[in-house]
Amino acid sequence: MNRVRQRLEAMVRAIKKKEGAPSAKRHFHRGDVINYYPDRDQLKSDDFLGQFLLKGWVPEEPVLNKGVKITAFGSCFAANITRHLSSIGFDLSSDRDSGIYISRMGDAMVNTPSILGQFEWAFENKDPAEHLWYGKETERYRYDDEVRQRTRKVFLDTEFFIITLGLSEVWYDARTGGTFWRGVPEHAFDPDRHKFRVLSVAETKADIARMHALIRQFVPQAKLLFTVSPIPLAATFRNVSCITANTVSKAVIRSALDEFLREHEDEINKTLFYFPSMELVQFGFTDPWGNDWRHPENYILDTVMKVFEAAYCSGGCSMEEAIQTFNLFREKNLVMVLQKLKRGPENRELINTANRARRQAEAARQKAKARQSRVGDADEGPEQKAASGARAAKKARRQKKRLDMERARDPDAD
Amino acid sequence: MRQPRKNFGLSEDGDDTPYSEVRKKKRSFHRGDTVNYNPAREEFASSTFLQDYLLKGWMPAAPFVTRETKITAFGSCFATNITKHLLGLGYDLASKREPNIYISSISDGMVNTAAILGQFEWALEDKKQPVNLWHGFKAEGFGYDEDIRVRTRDVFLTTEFFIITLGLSEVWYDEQTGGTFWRAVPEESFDAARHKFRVQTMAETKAHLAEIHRLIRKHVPNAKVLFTVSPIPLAATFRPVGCLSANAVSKAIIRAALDEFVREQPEELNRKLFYFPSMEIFQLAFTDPWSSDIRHPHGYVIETIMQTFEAAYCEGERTLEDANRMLQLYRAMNLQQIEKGAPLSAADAEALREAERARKENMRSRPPIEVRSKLDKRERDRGSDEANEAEREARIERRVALRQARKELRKEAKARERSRNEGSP
Repeated sequence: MNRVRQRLEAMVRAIKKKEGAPSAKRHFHRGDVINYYPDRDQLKSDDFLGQFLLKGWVPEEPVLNKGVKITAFGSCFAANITRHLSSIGFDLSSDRDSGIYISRMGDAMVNTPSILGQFEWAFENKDPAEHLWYGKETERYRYDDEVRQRTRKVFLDTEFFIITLGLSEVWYDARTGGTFWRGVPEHAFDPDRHKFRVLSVAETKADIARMHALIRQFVPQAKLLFTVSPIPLAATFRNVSCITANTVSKAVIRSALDEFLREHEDEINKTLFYFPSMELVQFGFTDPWGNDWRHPENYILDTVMKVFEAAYCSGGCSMEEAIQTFNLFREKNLVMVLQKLKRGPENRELINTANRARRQAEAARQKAKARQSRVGDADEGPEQKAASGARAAKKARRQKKRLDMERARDPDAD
Repeated sequence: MRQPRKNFGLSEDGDDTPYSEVRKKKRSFHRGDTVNYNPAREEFASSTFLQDYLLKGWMPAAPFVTRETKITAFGSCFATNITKHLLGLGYDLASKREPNIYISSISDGMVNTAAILGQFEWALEDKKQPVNLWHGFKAEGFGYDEDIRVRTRDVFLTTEFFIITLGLSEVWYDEQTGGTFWRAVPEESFDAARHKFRVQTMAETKAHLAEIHRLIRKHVPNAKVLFTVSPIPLAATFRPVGCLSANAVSKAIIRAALDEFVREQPEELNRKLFYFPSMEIFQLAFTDPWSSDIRHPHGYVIETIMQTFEAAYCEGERTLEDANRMLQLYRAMNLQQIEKGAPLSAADAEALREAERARKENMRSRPPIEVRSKLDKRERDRGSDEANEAEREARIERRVALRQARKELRKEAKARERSRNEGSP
C-alpha cells in the first residue's frame, strides 16, 4: 500500500513539474489583468477572436461609416483593405483621387520612411534632393507640384488614416540619407552612393511618431489606424536566409509600433488604433499561404477583412458573422492543407520510415536516460532514483519488445 | 494585390526553371551582391532546405563543439531541451558539472534578459541587487549565497561555449530599485506601491545583450557565445490585450534587439558569436508544430531542431544531410497528425460549401479595380497628355465597360454550352 502511494506521489510530482503553470499560479502575484494564451480547444471556440486576438485593440463603438473619408495606403496589403472597403461602399482616397501617388502606388511604399515621405512632401513641401520614387516597373515619379497639392488636399480632407507597414530592409542614398520606395533601378545604380541596410527600431519608431505628429498637426480631427502586412519579404539583400531576415524585418516594425502605441495609451482605441492583421493570418490559420508561400489565400484575406469590418465599421457585418466566417474558413484551410498534401504511396512510405526512426530515437533516448540515472543524479533521493530507474528500464524493455515485433513484421527494415 | 502566378514554377518557354530563377530573370531593380529568396512551397521538399532557406548566413565555417568543449547553456525554458539533447550525446554541460547553482535550475520557466544579465553581473562582478529578485519556479526565494556565487563564477570562467536562450520581454520590476524579477513577484511579498509590470523596451533588451557580451569578453575572452530565441510563447500576458498579439510583441522586441546587436558585431559573427534560428525553424518549417496546449512543440519538432543544432555546431555528429532527411520525415508526420486531429463533420462540410458559395458571389459583385488600375497605367505609358483628363477617364470607363461586356458574353456562351451538353444525353 505504501509503495503504491509513493508511486502515486511521484506521478503527481512529475505531472506538476510537466504542467508548470498551474502550480506557479498559486504562488506568484498575477496582477489585475491577465490574458492567457489559448489552448487547442479554445482555438476552435467562438470567443477565440475576441479573447485572444482582438482584445484590447478594438474600439467600443464602430468608428467607420459610409460618410467617413478614409485614406489607406502603405505596403501591398493596404491594397486589400482599400479594395474591400471600397467594395462595401466606403469612401476611399483612391476613389476620391486616383491620380495621386498614394492611390496609384499605394502598394509600393513598403518601408516607413517612404510613407513618412508622402506626408512630409504633402504637408511641408519637403521633396528629396534626388530621385527616390520608382514604381514597380522602375518608372519614375516626379515631384510634381500639382500632384503634391492634390495629395495635400486628400490628406487634409481625411477623417480616418489606415497605414500599413511592410518591411525594414531598405535601399538608401548614403549622401543624402533618402530612402527609396522599393529599390534602385539598375540603370541609375551608383555603388558609391546607393547602399542597403536594415532600419533600426529607433528609426522606425521615430518615423511612426513623426507621421502621427504631422497628422495631429495638420489634420487634428483625423483618426489613425496602423496595421502590419502579414506578407513576408520575397527576398532579402542581407547575406542570411530570407526566413530569418523576414522575421527580423517584421520584428523591427512590430516592436517599434508597439513601443509607440504604449507611449500613447490615452489615445488607443479612441483616436489611435492597431489592427492585428499579421497575428490574425499567422496564428488564426494552420497554413495561410498560397503556393508561393508568401501571399495568403484569397479566402483568408476575405476573413481578415470581415474581421476588420466587424471591428471598425458600423452597418457592416457583425462580430458574430465575422466569427462564423473565421471558423468556417479555418476549417476550409485545414481541408485545403490536407488536400494539397494528399499522400501517394511514396509519402506513406516516408511516414512509416519517420515513425520507425522516431521510435528508434525514443528507445535510444530512454537507454541514455537509464544509463544516466544509473550514474546518479545529485538532486534525486535514493528512493526516487530507484523508482525512476526501474521505470526507465521497464519502458526501455517495452520499447525493445515493440522494435523486435516490428522487425519481425518488416524484415527488410534495416 | 498580386495573385500567385498561374504558371507557377515554370518560366514562359515551358522549361523547368524554379520559381526563384524566373523571378531573377525579370530583374529591373538593382539586386545587390547577395540576394536570398523566400522559399516557394515546392522548395520545402528540397534536400538542402535547412542550409538554403534557414541556416544560411548563421552557420560557422565548420562545426567546432566537441565532447571536450565546456558548455554552459541556460536561459529560457527552451534551454532545457538543448541541455538534455547535448547531455544525451555525452557533451560536457554546466548543469552536469554544477547541478545546484542557479543557472542550472533557472531554465525551467520563461526568462527575461535582465535575469540572465543578473547572473553574469553577480558571478563575475559581485554586483548584488538591494532586494531579492530571484525566485524559483514555486516562488521559493534564492539568496545571494557566496558559495553559489563562487561556483557560478568558476563555471563561467571555465566555459568555452555559452548557449543563451532568450525568452520574453514582459517583466515585473521593483520601482524603487529598478531591479527586474526573474519571473514575477511572490504573492506574499507583493507590494502594489513598488512592484510594477511593464514591457521591456527594445533599447533596454539590446543594452542587456551587449552587456552580457561585454562581460563575457572581459572575463572569458576566448569563449564562444551563441544566442537563440525560445519559440515557446507566453503562457499569459499581464497587458490588457489579447495574448497572441502580446506574445508577438514580446518576441519581436527580443528578435529585433538581438539582430541589431548581432549586426553591430560583424567581425565576430559566425566566428565567436552565433545566432541559431530555433524560433524560425519551429514556426516556419512545420505546418503545425504545437502539441495540444499549442504552447509546447511536439517532441519530434524539438528533435529536428536539436539535430539541426548538432549538425551545424557539433563536430563528428550527424550531418545536415541527416537533419534535412529528419525534417522531411517529421514534416510528413506532422501532416499525418493534423489529419488525425481534424475530422470534418457533415454539417461543417455543408456549412463550408455554403460559405464558399457566398464568398464567390461576393467576389463577383466587386468592382474590377485591378483591371482599372492596369488600364490606367497603360494610358500613362502611352504618354497621353494630362491636359485632357476627362477624355482619358472616359476612355478608361469605356474599356472597363467593354471588358465587363465581353466577360458577360463569355459567361453566356458557357451557360449555353452547358445546357446543350446537358440536353444531348
